[in-house]
Amino acid sequence: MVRGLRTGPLIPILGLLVGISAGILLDPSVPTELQPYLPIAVVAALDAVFGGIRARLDNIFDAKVFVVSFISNVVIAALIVFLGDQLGVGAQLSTAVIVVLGIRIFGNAAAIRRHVFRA
Amino acid sequence: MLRRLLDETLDPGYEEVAARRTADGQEQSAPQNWTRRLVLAGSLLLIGALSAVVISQVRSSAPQREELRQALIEDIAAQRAAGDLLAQRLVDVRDEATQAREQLLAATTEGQDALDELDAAENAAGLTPVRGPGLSVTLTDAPAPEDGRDNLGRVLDRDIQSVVNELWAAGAEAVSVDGQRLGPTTSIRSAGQAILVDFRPVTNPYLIEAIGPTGMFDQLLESAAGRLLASYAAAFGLGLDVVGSDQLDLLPGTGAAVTEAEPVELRRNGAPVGTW
Repeated sequence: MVRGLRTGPLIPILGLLVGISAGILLDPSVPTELQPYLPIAVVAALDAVFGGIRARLDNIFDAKVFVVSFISNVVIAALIVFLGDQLGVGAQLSTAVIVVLGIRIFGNAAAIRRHVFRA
Repeated sequence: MLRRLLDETLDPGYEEVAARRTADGQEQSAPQNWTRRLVLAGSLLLIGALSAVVISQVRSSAPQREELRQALIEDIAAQRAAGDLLAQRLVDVRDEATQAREQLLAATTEGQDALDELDAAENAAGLTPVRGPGLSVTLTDAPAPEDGRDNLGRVLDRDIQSVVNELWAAGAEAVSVDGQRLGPTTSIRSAGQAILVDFRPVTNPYLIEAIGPTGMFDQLLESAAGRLLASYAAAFGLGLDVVGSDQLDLLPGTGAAVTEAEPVELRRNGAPVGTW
């Protein structure tokens, strides 16, 4: 358990840093049809990350749950926005998705804060 | 539903898995094996790359749009300059053609006759500059009423038409509206709020200039159109100003495009020699 805590965060953080630098260095061009969904996907991914950090601090983190929640969050968020675009309410549904994810991110950030600062 | 949304911010999956583990008698936290770590690192790598791509995309799209706008503006300027150049060349070439025609035709008496005929036709078509005595009529919109009612003193296309027709009737040789010479096929009409002369907009105040006999002045003011406009001026505040002038310069019109032509019969010493 002690060992897991010491090496545990290192690999994910390393992965995050490598991902960011790869994204900046390679600068892949995104197909135009996918562009409206990317910001939403990022917010959904951010929600999964904050949820993962909080679960870890609660000592109930599980890699499988994290990966599944990340992928399903991104896919469902993009799907909702796509559906909204087809129905002509894309902007409103984007807002709805952002609001819900934002509330969750805030809640998890507050829980993380309580863990870290004990306040 | 809102309460649940606000209270349960953590994915319920975590607690379920933890509860299942406790029930199975295992440790609450999952064991960290290498596969799980790699999958975790891989998904975080994906998240990082996704964020970086989106951020760089959003950052680079703003200057791109500005560049595109700038390029379009440059295109417009270049095309406009090319258009001006072509218009100037058209004027030059037309001048050359006219000079060459005059030189050729002036050599013979028949040619001279044809030239005189041509000059008369061009004058009638408003294709030549004209200078002479005449009068200028200025029509001005009445100021818009402050309470938002319709402005009854606004100059309409009909008003300009009636003045122009009255001037032609009074013997005017050349007429222009806001500097635009009227030819035989020129239209004066309105499109929405704007008045178009030969499909080009003219604006308030409307200056109608005419070259012709001095009697035009009185004839215009005493005509039905002149009296009607004077009554509009008195009742609705429409501006009507007629000034006689010793010397007016009217620019040539652009002329109508040729849509129909007939072959010319060539004659030499009065006998036909064929068609051209």
